[in-house]
Amino acid sequence: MKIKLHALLAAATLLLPAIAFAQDSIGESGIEQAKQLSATTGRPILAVAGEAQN
Amino acid sequence: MNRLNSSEALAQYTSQFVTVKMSTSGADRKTWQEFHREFKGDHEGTVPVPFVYIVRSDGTTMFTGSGMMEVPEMGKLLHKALNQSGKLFSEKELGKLVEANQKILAWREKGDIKQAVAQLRDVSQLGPPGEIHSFAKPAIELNATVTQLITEGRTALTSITANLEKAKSGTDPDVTDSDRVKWLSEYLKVRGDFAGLKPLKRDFTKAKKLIQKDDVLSGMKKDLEVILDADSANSKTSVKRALKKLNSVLEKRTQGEIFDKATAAIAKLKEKSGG
Repeated sequence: MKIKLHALLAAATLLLPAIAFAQDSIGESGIEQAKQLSATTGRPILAVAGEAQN
Repeated sequence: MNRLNSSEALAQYTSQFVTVKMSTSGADRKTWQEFHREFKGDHEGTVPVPFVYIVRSDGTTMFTGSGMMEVPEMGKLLHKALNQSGKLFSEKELGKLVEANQKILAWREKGDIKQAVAQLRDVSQLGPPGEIHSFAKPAIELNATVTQLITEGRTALTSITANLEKAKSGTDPDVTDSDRVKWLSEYLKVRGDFAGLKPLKRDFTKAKKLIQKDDVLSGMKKDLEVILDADSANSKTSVKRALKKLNSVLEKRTQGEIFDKATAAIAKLKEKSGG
């Protein structure tokens, strides 16, 4: 089964909504928040960059 | 997307990540460019999107790439990244690590090493002391605190063991019984404080064997233990027992530093128990 990686982007939105996924723009503070959360919990960051989907 | 969402194989992995999405255009563009430079390390101008980054908590880039990927392949990638990310703790466990570290530091501040070491019991199931394999900040900080305790204990034990080596009967004519009492007392203090630290087990065994092999040292150690134990006698029965043991020390030693210490301990006990 082939999937496009941008599907993962959408899936991530549903899986962990805590990190500003609902916003149009994650912004610098969102990234910093993710880095801090990762450092505190030890959980790695899974980041996906893609075209805006409107 | 529906296929991916319904893929439990991926969901079980992705739920263990801190997930972030960025748009390569619009308001996110600058943020994404900085992120890309930080973790991919090259020019972002011609990057094919979507682009995936997996970054460990310590900032190590574990994967970057773009394009098509099968679900099993993606699952393997996420699984591998998690395997290289150390132990992941629940929120409750992370709280325990933070709390243990704060308590240890507080007891250290008060100068009570024994109590500081005792706080490790609450996190003993989360990993070996000083070596919890995790990139989580609470684990890293606790490891640093415990490593410092281990170093302090080891340094003290190394010095005491070297002195006890000299103190073995017939080794160094300049070593007096007073020196032996001093070094054995230091050993007993360090043992009382640090014995709960498992990484020091080998260091303690070395000192213990050295004392056991020497009749003079082992005899002195036993008597000093009796004197130390007497200090914690509180009930009538324990005071009576301690007095009996202290008197047997006096029978063996008619003078010297241990004799003086035992005499003082008896006086203290008698005072405590009202004569």
